[in-house]
Amino acid sequence: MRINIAGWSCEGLRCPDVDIDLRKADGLPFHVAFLQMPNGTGKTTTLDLLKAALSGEAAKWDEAMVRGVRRRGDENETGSFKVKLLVDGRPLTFEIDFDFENGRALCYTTRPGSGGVRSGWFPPPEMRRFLDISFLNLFVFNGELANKLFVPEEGAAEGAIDALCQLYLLESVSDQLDTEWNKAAKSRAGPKTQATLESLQTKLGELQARKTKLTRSKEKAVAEQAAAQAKSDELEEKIREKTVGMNKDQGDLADSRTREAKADGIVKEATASLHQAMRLPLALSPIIGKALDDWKDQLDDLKLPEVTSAQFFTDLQKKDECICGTTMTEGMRIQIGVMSKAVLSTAENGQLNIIKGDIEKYRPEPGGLTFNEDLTQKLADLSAARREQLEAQQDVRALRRKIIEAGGDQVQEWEAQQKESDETCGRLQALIDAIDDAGLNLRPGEEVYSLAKIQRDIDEATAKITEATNTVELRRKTTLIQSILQRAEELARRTIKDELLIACNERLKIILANDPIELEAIDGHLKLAGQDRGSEAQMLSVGYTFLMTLLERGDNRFPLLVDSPVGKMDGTVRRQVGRLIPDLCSQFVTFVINTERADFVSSVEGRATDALYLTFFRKTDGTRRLMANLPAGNYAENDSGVLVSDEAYFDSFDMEDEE
Amino acid sequence: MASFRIREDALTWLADVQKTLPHGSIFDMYYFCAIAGLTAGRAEELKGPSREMVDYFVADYKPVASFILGMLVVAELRLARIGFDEETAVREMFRSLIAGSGENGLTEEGMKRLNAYANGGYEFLAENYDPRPQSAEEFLRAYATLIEESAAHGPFAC
Repeated sequence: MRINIAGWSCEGLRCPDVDIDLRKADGLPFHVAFLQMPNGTGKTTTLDLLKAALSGEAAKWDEAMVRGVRRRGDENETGSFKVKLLVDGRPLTFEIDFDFENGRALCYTTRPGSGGVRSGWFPPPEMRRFLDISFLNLFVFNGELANKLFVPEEGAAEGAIDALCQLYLLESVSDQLDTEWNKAAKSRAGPKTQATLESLQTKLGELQARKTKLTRSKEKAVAEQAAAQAKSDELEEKIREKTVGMNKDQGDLADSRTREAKADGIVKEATASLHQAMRLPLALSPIIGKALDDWKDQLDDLKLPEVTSAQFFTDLQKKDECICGTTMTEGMRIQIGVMSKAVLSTAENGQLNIIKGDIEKYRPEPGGLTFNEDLTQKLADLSAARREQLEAQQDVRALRRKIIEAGGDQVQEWEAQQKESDETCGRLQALIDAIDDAGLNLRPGEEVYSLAKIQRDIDEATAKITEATNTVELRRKTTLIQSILQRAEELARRTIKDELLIACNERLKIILANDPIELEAIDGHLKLAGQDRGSEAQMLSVGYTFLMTLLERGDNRFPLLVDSPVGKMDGTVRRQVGRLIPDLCSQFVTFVINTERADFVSSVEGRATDALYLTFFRKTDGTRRLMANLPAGNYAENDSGVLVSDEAYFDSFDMEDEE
Repeated sequence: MASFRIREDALTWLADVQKTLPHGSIFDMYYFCAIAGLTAGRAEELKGPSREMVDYFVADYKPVASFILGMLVVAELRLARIGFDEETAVREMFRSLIAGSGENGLTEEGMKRLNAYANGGYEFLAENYDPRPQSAEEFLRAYATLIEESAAHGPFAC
């Protein structure tokens, strides 16, 4: 890509109004353009405006910065600055319109063939990175930059490499990874560190071990219970055989046991039925139902729920007029606000309706029992079932006692053994029940036997571990990518520096053949080989060589626009630098004052393929004398300044500072 | 949103009832305590260790939620000696306890008060049983009698 500056124009700003055209008759830019401006004519302002327009930064300027480009004392409300480029020969224009009244700067972009003028800063995508302000500073700068490249504290050489090669993008990707990681970590519940993950894994291991242990315990308990039950049954059989002569009592015992089992079932059923009835509070006492009915009836008398909800008053408060047509006053609004708080909201009215409706609809079947009577009946059923159960239990105990006692010592011994087996059965059943329990109501710190509860805990821990593992894994991957990026940046930087060093030294061998000097390293700043400093001419030559070698990487060509490129150097230096620059770039635009012309301009023009000589000064009382000998046909003037395009006039111009 | 809460020692006290009650849940235990507190007019703010339960009426109690809410309002009106015909006070009491939206129909204050009745109800039950109930069938029969008696002397009898 070849970028050239075709010209710029400004109006209503600190620098005088001017329209600079750097192109030849064929439309291509002059190889070299000298723009002679006395100090105070606006060189720095022009440089700043060029950067602001090219980078689009002007749109971010605050009011003070915007108003700062208006000439002090002027009252104009608007101003504009326009820079025209040629990008591979195609025009591209950036414009800033200043609105001093409101302290705003609006950017515009003109790209013929791409929709004409667009509001905003819209360079071609492939050009964007070259218009970043850090990059612009490499080819639009004042002469001091070349010197700064040698100052360790400035780090300008490293900054220049960063700007061109955009190595900072790798750092930005790394920062973005951190941002994304933080976002992902925040959105994930649970632990995020390796230590917590390990702690969770330990807990999961313990839970799984507990589950295995309890599963085995249950299997063992079931087996042992079966064995104990078998032993009990066996003893029961022995007792029965031993007491086989007591046929009637054995028969009665069997009947009583059947009765007992039946009664157990009825008690359980009656308990469940009673419990179900008790879930309706009205059933517990007719007094409860009556109190609720009384309350409901009184609500009807009070006209609750209300026809008008609090929302009505809240809405009314916002009206300009009351419903009676009176204009709403602040006092009325306050009063209505008070009223709205005393009235139920729509939702509250709705809830009250539900409660009233439920109280109303819960009526027993006509002719049937009331809820309380039904509950009383169920209570009686449970009592009867319980009596029957107790009687059956007593019968079983009495008949069994009778049979045992009749069987003698042997049977009593068996009975004792059977009791022991039954107790074992009961103890094991309790353990099995605890293991099979849902484990929903465990007290804090209580030992857990419920397999269901342990499985829930395992599921929860597994979910947390999965989440934590993913998060920890994400952190690991993030760190890995960041280390790759960091390494890539280090390698890229080193390779670029090595290549640049070689390219610069090759060039320096030719450029400074009579005054050889070599670069030793680029380490934040430029380091010369074997010496801390060279002559001023050598230093500048190396600086410009470094910049242009850098800018030429990637087959791109940039203009060099430099304010005061040689400053206060002596003639020798000026000649050396002047001879060097045209060879380094395809377009060189420079702002000079009359005292910088000597030696430098002649050296530059000697190496340039063509050159443009512009002189620009502000119209003031002090410059009135300069108007006398303007070359006819080679100047343009407006209310604020004069632009002369004439080599002879350029050479004879003798004003250093604006008068 | 606030949840139903029951104190830990109430759960311990009712452990055998829950164990022997067919399909008995922790919410059943809460209900026994809350109804006891409401009918006896006993409300004590929760202070000791308590168990946070759900913030909604479970399926078995959803159909009767309105009665529990109504009982809470009536008990509170009676406790505050507010007549049912005192329109403004009734409205204010309703608004402070009953929410127009939410899972349980109670305001934060309403839930706090219902939990207080459950807490007071447990104390009332414990005072009237000694030793603690060993089985559901035994407890239910005694509970029904106790509630009927307390209702005759509590806030609902006025």
